[in-house]
Amino acid sequence: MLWIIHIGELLAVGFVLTMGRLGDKIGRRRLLVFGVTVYGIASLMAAFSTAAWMLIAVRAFLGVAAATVMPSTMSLLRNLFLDPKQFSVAVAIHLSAFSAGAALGPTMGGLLLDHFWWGAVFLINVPVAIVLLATSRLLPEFRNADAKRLDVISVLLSSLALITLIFGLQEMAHDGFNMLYGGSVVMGIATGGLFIRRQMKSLDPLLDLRMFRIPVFNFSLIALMLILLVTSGAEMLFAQHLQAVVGLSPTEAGFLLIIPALLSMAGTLMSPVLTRWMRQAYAMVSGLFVAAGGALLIMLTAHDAGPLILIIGASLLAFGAGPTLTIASEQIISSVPQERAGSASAMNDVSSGLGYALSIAFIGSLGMYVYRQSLANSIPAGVPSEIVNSAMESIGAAVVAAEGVPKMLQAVQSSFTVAIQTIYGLAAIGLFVLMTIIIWKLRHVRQEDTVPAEKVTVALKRETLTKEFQRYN
Amino acid sequence: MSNVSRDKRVEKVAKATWREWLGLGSLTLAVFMLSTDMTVLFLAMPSILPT
Repeated sequence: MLWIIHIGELLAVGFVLTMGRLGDKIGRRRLLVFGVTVYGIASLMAAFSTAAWMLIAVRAFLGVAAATVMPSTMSLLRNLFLDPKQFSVAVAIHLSAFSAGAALGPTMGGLLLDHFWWGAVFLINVPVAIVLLATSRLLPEFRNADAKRLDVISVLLSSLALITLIFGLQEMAHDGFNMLYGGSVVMGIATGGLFIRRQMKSLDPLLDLRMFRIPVFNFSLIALMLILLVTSGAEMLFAQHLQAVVGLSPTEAGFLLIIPALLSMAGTLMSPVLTRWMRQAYAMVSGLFVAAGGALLIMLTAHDAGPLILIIGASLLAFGAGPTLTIASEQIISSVPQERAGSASAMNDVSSGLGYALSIAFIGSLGMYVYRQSLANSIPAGVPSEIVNSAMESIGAAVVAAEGVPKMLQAVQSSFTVAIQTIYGLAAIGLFVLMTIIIWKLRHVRQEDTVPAEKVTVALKRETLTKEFQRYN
Repeated sequence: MSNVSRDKRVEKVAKATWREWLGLGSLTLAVFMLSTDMTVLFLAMPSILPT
């Protein structure tokens, strides 16, 4: 059943590079209209699916359609907003929709199921898709007239590399290491290597590697990946902590987690306000400082804090991360020439996707390793071995198994608390490292240097970029 | 090129009108749809399909 969720996520990341480039070639608005149409039709089919395999197949289509939407919407922002300050506001509003959707999605799913049949959770997309298609004429069209045909081998290599890499990492995080998952990661890295090699030789590559010679583009991608690497796995463990240690039900935890999601939205919208007063790098660092404060609050209080203090910590973390997520995306899109904005936007998604997958795999696994080590040293005498074995599997299984054994339950909860404290301590360190990188590499960047103004400033940027490109060649 | 002349060129950039902001609304709705769709199944999964 989990494949109903996973297949869409995998294909969305797997095809995003292809779709970014395709948008630059056939037209960003045209690609968006095509993607939204497929999304609407596939959602309708999902609502009336009669078997699990049918729903999985339809979700695969939804994943490919989703891959068309992000690169085309982000790159179209560059065509719409030529003024740097307005562009900054537009990116913040655009990205805040992510936090809003993440905050409202689970609750909306619950409410729809209370009043309608299960297909309603998919059917809700259909009217939204119709509104989008009706308003698409408001959007300008942009295509790169010089773009050549898509290289099919590059499309296959990039999709295979991303899908196998993320599949291997995600499944390892769930089930632990085995040959299939390890092999999948190795295959992803090897295929990725072949993809990069092919791009270096191609005259019109699927992914223009010369973009990586632009320092702002490069370090913004790194910043985006690092912040997701530091926070995503910690957030996953945090949700488990609220249930297993604090004692909240899944619904209570779900409702409580809406607060940090809403504050993440507020943090995203704060970034254009901050960049009116200070350079982008300092706005990012200010936010990260607040985020690190949130991580430290959770680390220092997790052993005896109630849900209120913990949610304050998680909210500070989410709020503080907002400006970095927004400004990094803004810089990624606006630091490359207009005709490469689709690919740059796709790289934005790849960087986020990899940061998230690596975080779930490594930070999540590290948390479980710390939990198991701590529990192994604190198992009370006389506890049956089957309870101990269940407790070692996962925190959810541990709480169920230890229900009638208070001393064991206490050991499980304090061990998981040690894991949470370790992970949030590491998150705080990671955020300070990220602050250092941003100050070191991005402090000189001014908003005016990376404006998305095609009519005036791109000419100026092209002078700089041409020098970069020439140096690369 | 000096910073002064660069700033003058940037100032010439056209400001967005209501049409562009409505366009942003359309793009934002697309992202909201995707984001909601990713998380809407979290609570709904146990009820989906007669499996």
